[in-house]
Amino acid sequence: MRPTDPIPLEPIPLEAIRAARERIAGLALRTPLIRLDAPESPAEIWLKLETLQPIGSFKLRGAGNAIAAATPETLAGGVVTASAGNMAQGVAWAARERGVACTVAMPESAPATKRAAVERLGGKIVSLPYDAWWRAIETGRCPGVDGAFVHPVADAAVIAGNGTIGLEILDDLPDADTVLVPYGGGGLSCGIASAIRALRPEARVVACEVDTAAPLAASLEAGEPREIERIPSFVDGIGGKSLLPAMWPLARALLAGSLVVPLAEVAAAICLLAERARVVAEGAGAVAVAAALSGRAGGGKIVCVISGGNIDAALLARILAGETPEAPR
Amino acid sequence: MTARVGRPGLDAIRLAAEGLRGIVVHTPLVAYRGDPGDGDRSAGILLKPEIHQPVGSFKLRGVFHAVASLPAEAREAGIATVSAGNTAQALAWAGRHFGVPARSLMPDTAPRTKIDAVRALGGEPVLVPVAELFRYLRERGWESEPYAFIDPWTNRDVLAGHASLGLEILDDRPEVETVYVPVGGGGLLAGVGSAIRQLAPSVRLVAVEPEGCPSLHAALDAGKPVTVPCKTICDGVAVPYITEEMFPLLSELVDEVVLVSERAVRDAVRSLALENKIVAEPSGALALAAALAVPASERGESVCLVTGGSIDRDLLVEILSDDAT
Repeated sequence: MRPTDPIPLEPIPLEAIRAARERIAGLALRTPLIRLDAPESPAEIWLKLETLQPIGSFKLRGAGNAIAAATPETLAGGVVTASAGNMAQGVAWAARERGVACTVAMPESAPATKRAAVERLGGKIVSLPYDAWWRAIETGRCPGVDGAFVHPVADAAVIAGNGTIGLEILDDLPDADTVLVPYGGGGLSCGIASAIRALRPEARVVACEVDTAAPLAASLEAGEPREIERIPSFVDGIGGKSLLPAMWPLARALLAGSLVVPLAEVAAAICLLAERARVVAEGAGAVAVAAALSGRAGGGKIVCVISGGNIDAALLARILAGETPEAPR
Repeated sequence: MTARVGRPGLDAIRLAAEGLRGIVVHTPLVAYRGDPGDGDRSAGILLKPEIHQPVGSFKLRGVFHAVASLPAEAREAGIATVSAGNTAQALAWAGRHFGVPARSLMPDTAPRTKIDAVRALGGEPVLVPVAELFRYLRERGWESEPYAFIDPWTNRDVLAGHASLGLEILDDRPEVETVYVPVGGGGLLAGVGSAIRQLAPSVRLVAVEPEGCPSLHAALDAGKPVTVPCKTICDGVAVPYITEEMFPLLSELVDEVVLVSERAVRDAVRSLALENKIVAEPSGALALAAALAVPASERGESVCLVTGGSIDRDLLVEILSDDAT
């Protein structure tokens, strides 16, 4: 079906992650690690606040590294990515900083607020039918659009940029036992796990998914990539119907399983983060906290990566008022 | 008898910053993202999110340092303060850290969130009518009590601890031109202002108050402390007068006092949540609201202290729904 089979990625070498840290210093924020006040939990829970990044999510790290590492010749024709949300902003931001043109392929269904966010950063938008858009992500190509393609997930430079989070976590909490990371495309968790495995192999990096769309848990159980029945929900930053093929070998090798949490617990975690940590998290950004509070990640020192906070006002207000929004019909 | 409060010196401030390492977070400066279409209005604004301190506000800096500086035997007798809520949480946190009882006199109008948070930390909130709280302060009610009293505004160690925040700003952004600081009793302004005046005298210090409780503004107009009526959603800074002890220092530190409308505060709370993903209480959003009222070309690069984030959930929901259609 695919024109080219993706080449499976290798764990990212520590040197590449350290080089990424140098490259993105001054572009992405070195975010703080703060302690969550959660006396009811058996674990000591820490929060890595990627919500504080200038685009409201971690995506600036990977995009920033990929664009900073590229040669002027590569960038001469501008950059292209395919994303419905946070990565689009990451690439647009990093491209603007480097002074190169940026085009983002978005699905026709993308909401106006996400388009506006990209345009605000000087990005040009190309609307594609959903299938064509997904094909661009699968193949890493966007036919008819000029520019170097920055893959939103399965790109070694992007994953290395994400891995800088792992370095920072261990700088701040050298004896972390477990790092919980939301699993969307897998680029965030595998980047962090590459760094952690190199520096502190005894620590576990565990993926977190929501029970309405948990392809990694299903695939790990089956021992091979599985397609699942996906129910759309307010947790829109993670949870596809299948894994990105290039990421599967890496995820299987680097991650110590996937913890699947119910939607209601994600909503409760969003409330708790707002009240006790003064953090606004989107659904994907709160799954790690839901997993930690469930007790299923065990005790010890647990770091939850709060990946992003791009949630709209009405949805946040409903969740804070105690609702667990149902799937959009 | 009133002894005027002096500036904590740089050595005392650096000592405080040293002692606070590992206790408080060195909060980063983050660029304010602004509403789409804000243009120049939101340019050049850096936020200092003190809401990410362990108790959700900057207060832990000064209170912890003051408690840690007490002689051990004085501390063991217990610690006490008066507070609208955030100082009480900081005191309870310090009490838990040292294993000593921590009691705070609080107005019975304090937000539920703050009262519950004090209890959850093992502190003892004593709720009294606002008038009684200010009478206690005027009459120095603590002098007849066994607990070590931490005065949230005039205690030298509190000010030195708060001043550590000024050091961080100058370390991270030496080229800052203006710093916006919310004022309640003035402890934060006294601390941060003292650090900045000694290290970077050309930085402009702007004190910010809600229109509904302009105690420093009124005092500067009158040339002496006066009592003003207080009606504002900014419960964290609703202090109706600047004390005689604090007034000389504050008036010598500030370049300007600006007043902010309730509407502008609500908008700033909303924008901090949606654009910068941080939950601020109304008084924590005052500084941003003030900076947004001035074009970037006039104020230059500006740091806004986002001082606290203890907001009742109902109020946050209401503010998030303000402009929702």
